[in-house]
Amino acid sequence: MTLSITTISRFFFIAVLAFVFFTFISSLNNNGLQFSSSLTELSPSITKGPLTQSAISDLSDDVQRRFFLVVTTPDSKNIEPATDYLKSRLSENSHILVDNTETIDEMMTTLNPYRFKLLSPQQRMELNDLPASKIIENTQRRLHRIESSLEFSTFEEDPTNTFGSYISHLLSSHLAEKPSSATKLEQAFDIISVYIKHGLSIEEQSTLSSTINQLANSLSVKYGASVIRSGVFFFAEDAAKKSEADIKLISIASSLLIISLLIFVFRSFFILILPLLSIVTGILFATSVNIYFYGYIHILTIVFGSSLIGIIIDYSIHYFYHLRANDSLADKSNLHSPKTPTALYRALLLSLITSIIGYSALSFSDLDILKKIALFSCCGIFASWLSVITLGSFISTSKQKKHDSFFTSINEKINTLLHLILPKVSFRSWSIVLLAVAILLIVNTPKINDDPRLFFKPSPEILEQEKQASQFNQNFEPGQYLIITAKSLSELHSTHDDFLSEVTSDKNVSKKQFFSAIELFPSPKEQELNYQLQHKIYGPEGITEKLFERLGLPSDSAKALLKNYLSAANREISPSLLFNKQDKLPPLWAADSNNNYVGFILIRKGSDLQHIKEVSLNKENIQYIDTLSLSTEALKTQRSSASELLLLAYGLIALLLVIIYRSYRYLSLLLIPASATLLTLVLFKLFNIPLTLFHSMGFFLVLGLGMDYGIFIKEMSNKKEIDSNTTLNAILFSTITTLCSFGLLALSAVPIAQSFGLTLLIGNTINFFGALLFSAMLNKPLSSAISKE
Amino acid sequence: MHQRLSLIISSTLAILLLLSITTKSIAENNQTQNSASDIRALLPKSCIFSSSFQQEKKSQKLPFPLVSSGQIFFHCQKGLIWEKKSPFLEKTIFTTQEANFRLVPNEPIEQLEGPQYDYLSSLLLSLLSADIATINDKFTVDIASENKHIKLTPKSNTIRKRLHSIDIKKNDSVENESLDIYISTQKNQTTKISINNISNLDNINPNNSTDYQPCLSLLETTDSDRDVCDMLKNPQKYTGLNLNNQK
Repeated sequence: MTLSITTISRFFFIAVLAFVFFTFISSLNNNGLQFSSSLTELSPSITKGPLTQSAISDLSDDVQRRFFLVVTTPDSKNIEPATDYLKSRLSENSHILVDNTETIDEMMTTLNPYRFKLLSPQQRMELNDLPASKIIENTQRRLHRIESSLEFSTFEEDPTNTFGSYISHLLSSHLAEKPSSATKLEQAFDIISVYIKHGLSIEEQSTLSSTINQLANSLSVKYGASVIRSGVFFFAEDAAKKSEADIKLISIASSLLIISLLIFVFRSFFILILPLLSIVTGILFATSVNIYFYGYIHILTIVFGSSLIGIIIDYSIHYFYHLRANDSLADKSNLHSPKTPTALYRALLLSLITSIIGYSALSFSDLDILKKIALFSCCGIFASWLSVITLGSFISTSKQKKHDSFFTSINEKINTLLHLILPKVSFRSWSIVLLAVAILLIVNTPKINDDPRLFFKPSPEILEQEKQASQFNQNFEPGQYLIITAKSLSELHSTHDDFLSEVTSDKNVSKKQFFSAIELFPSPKEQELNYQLQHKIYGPEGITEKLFERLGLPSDSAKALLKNYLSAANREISPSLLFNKQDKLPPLWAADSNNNYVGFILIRKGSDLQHIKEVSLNKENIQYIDTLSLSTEALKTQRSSASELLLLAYGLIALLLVIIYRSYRYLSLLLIPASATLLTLVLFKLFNIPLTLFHSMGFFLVLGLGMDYGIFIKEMSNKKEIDSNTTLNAILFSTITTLCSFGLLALSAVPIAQSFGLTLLIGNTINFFGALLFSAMLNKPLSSAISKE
Repeated sequence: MHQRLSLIISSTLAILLLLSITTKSIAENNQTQNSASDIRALLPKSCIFSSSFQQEKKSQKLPFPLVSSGQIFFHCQKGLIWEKKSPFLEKTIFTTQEANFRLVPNEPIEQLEGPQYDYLSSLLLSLLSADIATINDKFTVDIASENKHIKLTPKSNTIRKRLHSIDIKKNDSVENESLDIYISTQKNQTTKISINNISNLDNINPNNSTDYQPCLSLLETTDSDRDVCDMLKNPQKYTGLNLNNQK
């Protein structure tokens, strides 16, 4: 069996190395190793139809690609040179597009072929009500005015200024919102929009951010200008910076602690080879698999990944400690040359399975980031385990001396303490106490917090910048908007119009409180009506012909316009014309090949949200999206399902134990992680720590680690060559390394990592005490253990 | 977190949309700071004045120029009444409080909204009041012909696409203070505005509401004209909902 395990493990190990090699080569040949610090993966997705979901996702992606810099100067003379300087310096960065927004001229060029289909309500009314002679007189009046020289369209193309006036209406009624007057009066300002062309690496983000900081300083010195930053980019960059600091702290500090401990116990540098190789193999394989499946690796995955060191190292520790755990019953004569450590492999395999069950449970979450962490962790621990199994026999020796008397001493002291506290513990009484604790927790549940804001703590400076920036632009309600879905463009318009007319029947709500891509353009039916109405202008003997005649212009000009008018009859305008231009305008609109349409309606701040929400509830194709409450609800659901999945994981492991040991007796192994989980919950309750989804996720690992300890105690308990102190010392060693990693994770600036780390820190400490108790009870009564001592 | 993200979505969209319509300015690197006195010498010296005007608009497309004429009443702290008498009767009121109106006989008061009116208002008011700071902010100024001609070129690329330049010439051939303004716009259109017979009315007290007598007399006191002067003094009464009431 041992031969087959090692042979198989070698085969897999080579496969793992080959996979790592080819993935890295392939990614280096493409775009290099891609790291992401996207914040959307930290939010649960709001599950709607596929088109709606992709529309939300596109909009979210677009938002992450844009940021804004508001330049303000106390002296208005400085605003233009300051803005110009900033723009030209920013343009030097090849990853971004500066001020790449849709200009009026571009918008007019796009809409020009459809201009005969466009009329404002006022224009429709005038064309309906006014006689042609009055419209001609009005046009002549207009031509005599100074401002007619500044109109958007030219006399040749648009003599009655119908299209120009429509554009003007579009701008003034829908798009032109002035910034808050208080700010405007105090200081001159200009806004620079920046579009990030592609996903930036952490270094590129950091470089761009520090470039902006340097330019802001230069602007302050040169022009007395301030630069206010606004956009997801700054939050993501801040989060990445914090994560990077965490990665450094956790990986360096935990590695140093673990290496020191290994050297201290084994008094040899040679001993470091196996753990280091297993860590490197594990991390490389985990990274390659993530890159293979997702194309990049998220920064938070690496934060969690760096804490994996604490678990990965356990395989090497157990290997060193239990290498002599030969299958002694079969081969007692071969006690000192353990070439086939079957029991060790078996224990390591069981330990791997329980850890994988624990980590893979994270993939049941709806959060993309947890799925990635689950994949990363499972692959990491598998590859590390494989490298220990494969390389262990080459580079370690059972003759390695251990200097761990202080571990023994600690264990004995804890044992004494346990004896004093719990003199007559049996598995039954332990189970009963746990049951009582569980009931107590059900009756008196710990505080719960499903608020998604708890998991994202941006720096106060960035929040303040965002707050300041919001003074300079029109503001929509944060996180609250409406989504319309329809089966045709006409239906989309009619649903939109019906909703607006119903919602604005309340005196406190007006149409100006909403903005959508839909309202900018007429429905297909209105377009047809507008076209018919413009026949009065461009048709034979129409306004244009008479006007040109009155102005002494040749009739050819009017005929050319008539020709243009007639050729536009079958053109239909859709919001996609403007809103599907990737880097110009945000995608407030989506359509698919099956004639499904999705449109967003944004709500301006200060609107009667309750009323709007109530009206939307009665509308079949309109959904009111409150991202905060939806996210809260999503997190709550996931937390509940995580609890159910945890019970399922306990069930699966129980089944595994029964199958392996063919006895119900060893279900008692589950008492270790169960005690850790329940007592951690009790501590959360006592210290008023609100329970979140990420604490729940941490309990899966508490289960995996607790089972590891129990399995080694059980597996090594009947090996004569392994005394109980060896196993307990290995477990204490392993506990210390795990606590080093997760203890550092608990200090993380990233709240998700912090919750996770805290759960593991407390839970695994209790796991260790549980393991000692279990060991004492499994081998002999506690009292006899003490008397022996 | 999600709330924060959504806030940013909102802000982002908001700013983006604002940007798409905002006429954005790019400063010229070789901005020349002209002496304020040189510019001021070419522009009206009075804070309050009345004058006549003649406007001639030429376009390549039109076979003959479009000529109009009328009267102006200007108050540097309140704004401008541009009264056209020929070939059509109409009055345009540009106020310093960012509210502009048009009055056409037998039609309701029209509030002029939109970036083009805001810009035109700001342009005319700054020129007629010789507001050097605003002129320098918006234009590159070149002075030529022995300080009798200034050329203003908009600094903003976007504006420059429509408004190429403004030339102001002091007219010494007439006795009273007068000046010619040439506005060169897109498609080679030019508009010449001759402002003649500028009458200084600075001796009236602008803070005293009864001192709008010159405005009233200029505009041949009728009920409608009384409204026009009142619009200049109290534009807020005529904006938004108030305007609907006026109708």
